[in-house]
Amino acid sequence: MLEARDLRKSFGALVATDGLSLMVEHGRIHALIGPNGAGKSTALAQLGGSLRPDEGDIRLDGRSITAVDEAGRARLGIARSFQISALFPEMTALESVMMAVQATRPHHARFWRPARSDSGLVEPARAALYNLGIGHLARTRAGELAHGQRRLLEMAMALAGKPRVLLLDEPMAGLGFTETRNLMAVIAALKPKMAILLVEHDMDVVFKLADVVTVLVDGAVIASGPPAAIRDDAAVRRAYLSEGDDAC
Amino acid sequence: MLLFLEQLLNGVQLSVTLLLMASGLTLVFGIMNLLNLAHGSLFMVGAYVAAWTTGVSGSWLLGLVAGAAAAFVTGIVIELVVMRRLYARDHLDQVLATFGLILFFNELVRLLWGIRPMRLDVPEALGGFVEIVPGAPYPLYRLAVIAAGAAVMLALAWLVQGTRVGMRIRAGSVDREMIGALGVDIGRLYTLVFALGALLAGLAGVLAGPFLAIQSGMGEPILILAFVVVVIGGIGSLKGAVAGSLLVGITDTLGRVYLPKITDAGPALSSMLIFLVMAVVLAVFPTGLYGRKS
Amino acid sequence: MPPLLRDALPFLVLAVAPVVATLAGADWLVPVFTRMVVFALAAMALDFILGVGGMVSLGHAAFFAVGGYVVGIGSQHVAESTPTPFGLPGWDDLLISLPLAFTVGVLIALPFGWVSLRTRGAYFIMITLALAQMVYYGLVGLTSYGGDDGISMWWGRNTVAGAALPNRLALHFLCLGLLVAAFVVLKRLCAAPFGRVLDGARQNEARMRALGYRPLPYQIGAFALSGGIVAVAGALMANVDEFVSPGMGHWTISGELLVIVILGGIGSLSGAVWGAVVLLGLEEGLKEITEHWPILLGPLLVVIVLFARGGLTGLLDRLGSRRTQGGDDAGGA
Repeated sequence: MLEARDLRKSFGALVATDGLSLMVEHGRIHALIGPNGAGKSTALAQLGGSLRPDEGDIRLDGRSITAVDEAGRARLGIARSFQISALFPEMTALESVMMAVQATRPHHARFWRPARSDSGLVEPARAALYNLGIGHLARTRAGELAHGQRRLLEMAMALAGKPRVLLLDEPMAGLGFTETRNLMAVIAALKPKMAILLVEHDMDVVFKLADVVTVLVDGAVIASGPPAAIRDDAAVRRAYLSEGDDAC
Repeated sequence: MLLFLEQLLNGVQLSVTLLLMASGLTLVFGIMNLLNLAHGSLFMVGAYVAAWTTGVSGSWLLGLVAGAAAAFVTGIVIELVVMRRLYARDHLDQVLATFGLILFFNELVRLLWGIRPMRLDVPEALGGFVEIVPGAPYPLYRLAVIAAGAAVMLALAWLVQGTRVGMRIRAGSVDREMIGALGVDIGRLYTLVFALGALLAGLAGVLAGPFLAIQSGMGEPILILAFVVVVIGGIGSLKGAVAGSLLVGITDTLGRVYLPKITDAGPALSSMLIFLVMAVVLAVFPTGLYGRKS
Repeated sequence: MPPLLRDALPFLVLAVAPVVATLAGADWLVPVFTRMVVFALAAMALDFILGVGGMVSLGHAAFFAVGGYVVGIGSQHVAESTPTPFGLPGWDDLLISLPLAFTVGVLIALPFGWVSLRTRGAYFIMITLALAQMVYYGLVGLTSYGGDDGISMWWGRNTVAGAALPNRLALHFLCLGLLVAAFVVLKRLCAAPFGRVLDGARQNEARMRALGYRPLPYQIGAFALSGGIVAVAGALMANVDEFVSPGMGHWTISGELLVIVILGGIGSLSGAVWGAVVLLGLEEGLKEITEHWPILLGPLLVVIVLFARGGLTGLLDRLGSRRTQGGDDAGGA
């Protein structure tokens, strides 16, 4: 369970996160929505550890991890996918996922042994690719994959370390209809095994997947609750949903 | 105390030379994202042409103009032939190509003027001393260099901050595509900026000429010092170049005078001093004093 | 060309050429080939951090010079029968001077790497250059070891386990053996988790952190290892030339090492050997044409950078793949 308590972050005069509190529970999908510039990515960065909050506390299963750096949080089981696919362009899909598997193991182990022939790395990596339906792309370089395939590889890398918490930053961005549906099924199937925080623009996806929705405007939470309640919330409709139709 | 004042002025004078070099480097880097190792060659071209012209014509002023003009023209030529093909390349390619240019220029001056160092004397009109404080005569020429350097830098600041060209230059460093969309000929603007940097380097070479042996390879030690200035000040920042060059120029000069009095290892230590200063600055400010945070 | 042959060929060239030269009665050519081996070793170590780790160091001459001075200083004390500054006796055997050079190289490269790796990109290049310049001035200041003039080892090369090397060819093969050993070790490291982390950090450092890696210790470690190997190359160079001077640490040496890496093709390790053969061969050849040879070499470098990316290895690969239509082995360093 990942919990944020009263996070605050400002850049100069701009308040990007203004007293954000939320709780992402195991076995549930928590969606974080809001108009462009609401501070969703900033919030995600603070939870992931690449950005340090000015104030507030972040807890994983009750233990404060505010002072733990990004790599440390990843090792504690918080995995992230990026809005713009962040891959290793020269590595094959298999090598990329092996990188992710290797990260979860003690680092000095097998210092000398070629990674490619290490079945402890290859097998879990291959499995992660097959689980997302891109096993046939194992030998293709990440830089040569199509956009939708990159999103799936991005996902496979995040999942390879068997995380407890998954932070997804607009995983559907730029995907077509079928690809979106497939990825939604993947995420829904992951739900029982971990806590998922989903930042997403596509309201159809949000309302179909999420168990809890938190709405962020100008860095502050204006509403939080089950999807049905959020859909009917007057403040949310005023601030966001009414003008949110053109958001893509 | 008098010695200290005199050395402080010497430090400022070295700072001025470094600033003329560093401002060109940092402008070219900030705007075109080009790491130019051959900037020291332009310094050398300025010094050589000034020394040769002065020797032939007997006129120091003519030497000054010829040296600066030669660096300016050389700048235009290498920008047109080589540099503009490097703007889009990575820093490694830029390092290698400009390394090639250094080899070329260092050998070219040997071919043209031989291996024996040339001399550039202080101009007669500025050969005297002035008493800045009673009892402390200071060379007039050094004062003139400080004044000239300060004037040039003020002119540069005015050019960048207060004119149309400067506005385009600043816009270009922020957003290349936007400035292209505004209908500014970006290629010509880049050539102009590069040549301006070359002119400043050439000027630095002429002004510092009387303090140096004018020989092949003379540009690189000053180039490396200018790099230290740029790194300390923050790449792309003129303000940083001013702060960095004062810090480096004064530290280096005072270190050379006072460290040998303290310890036997002084001479070696004083040459290493500014690099230690750089390491300390970077340990605290990884992008320099005025660098953009990444 | 098959990868194994591509890797082995430059080593074979450097094994055969000096033997042929000796048999042909031109044994004065042997040191030319030995220089190629030594520069290949230094450039290969640079390629390890540049091609795999993405660190463009323009300061590796510092480690080269430091390695040279480890040999020069040790053997000067032996020749003059004076104790070294810490009261230890001098040393003039490769079994001592090579490991010592490696150690000193690593110890200097550690802080240099730490400072330089606080930054990236152009800053990194300029800082490594500046730090190397500092070492250069430091060596010039070593007045008891010749200052500007350096140390002329008129007393001759280091011994090996107490025995003198019989001739230049023996020294050549000793250097070549170390080059092959370095190649095997570095190649293996590239494929091992250590190298994969370096490679990943080069391609996407932010993603590495998000996966749970802290790349900095790996990068500093690789930088230090590279510095240590370059120092060994410097120690060998001192034995080839029987002379060391601050000039070994001149920044143009750093530039030449980069040129060698680029000529050979970044990241291929064995390419550094091709690069050394070509650059040093080119220099020797141009010297035959004119004493002003840099005036030809300089523009040639510019042309190579502008028009022949990927270096010689890339060229060979392109020729090879044209013939076999693909057959590319994915991965590798």
